[in-house]
Amino acid sequence: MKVKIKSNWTAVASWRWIANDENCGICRMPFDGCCPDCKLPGDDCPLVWGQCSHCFHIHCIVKWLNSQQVHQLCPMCRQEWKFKE
Amino acid sequence: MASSPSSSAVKALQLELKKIHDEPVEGFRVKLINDDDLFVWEVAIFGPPGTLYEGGYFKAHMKFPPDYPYCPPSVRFVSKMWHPNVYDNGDVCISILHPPVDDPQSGELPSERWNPTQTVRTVLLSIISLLNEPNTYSPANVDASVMFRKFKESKGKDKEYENIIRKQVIATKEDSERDGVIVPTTLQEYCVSSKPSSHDNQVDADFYDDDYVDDLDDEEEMYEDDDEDSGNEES
Repeated sequence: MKVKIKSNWTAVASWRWIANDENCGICRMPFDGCCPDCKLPGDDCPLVWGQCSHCFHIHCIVKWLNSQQVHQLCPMCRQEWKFKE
Repeated sequence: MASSPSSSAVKALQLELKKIHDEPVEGFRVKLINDDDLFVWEVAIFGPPGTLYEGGYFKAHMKFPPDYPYCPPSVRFVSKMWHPNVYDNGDVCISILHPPVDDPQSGELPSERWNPTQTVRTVLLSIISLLNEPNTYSPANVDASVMFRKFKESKGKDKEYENIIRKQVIATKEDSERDGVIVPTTLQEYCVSSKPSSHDNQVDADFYDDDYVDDLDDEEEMYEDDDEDSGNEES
């Protein structure tokens, strides 16, 4: 069967991150939004997980880790931070 | 982005202030000293019932750095405090307010220190619990620390410490009366159980042009549609 669409249709898609929380624990902004330094959520401001399973905006956690000379700990559980592969 | 103070600090502080006003927690009140400056807060801590501090209304100023929450705020009591972990000038010395640098002398583990998931709420709750349980291992006020140990070791028979605290509590009455605040003295009054009415909530949510509601499970039903606004815009 052939279907012909006569009028103009606009395709719309929605997406959201599947994270274990609603907001980033560092910047406190929603995960479905972006970190305060970014304009657009999504690929430009991705989430990242640690091996401890905690999740942050990548920009937020990297900014924190870069400011730590001694120990790089997860701000949530204070275990050593390792990026989940 | 390189402007100072950073917009992320402003956003974090706005969110925290709003959250504390919407969902007050027991034991303290906060407000801005100057409505135009989000980086200096006045906080008032209520002395917990059943402690030497019962009935006290202790005021402090909380200052936030331009790169908050990556760096900790500082807290200075304005009310006179005789406490092992409070300096003569009122500065509070507690590990949660110290950045996690390597300092083996301090006796503080990096894991006890500031990190960006700490908030005004966690800081103030730590200070409230510090009131009645001073840390005498690294005192900011050595005389107070010695006096507190005597008080503890004598199981309260040596009243010098207690008398000073009680006097300071009485001295805070002036402030609470001036601010028109009734300090809770029973556990029931102290523990805030009331949820703000949904009407208040709505007014506040509109005020900050940020429709993201993060506590859906606490609400009966949300009337706001979050799909359109991802929360990344601020007026």
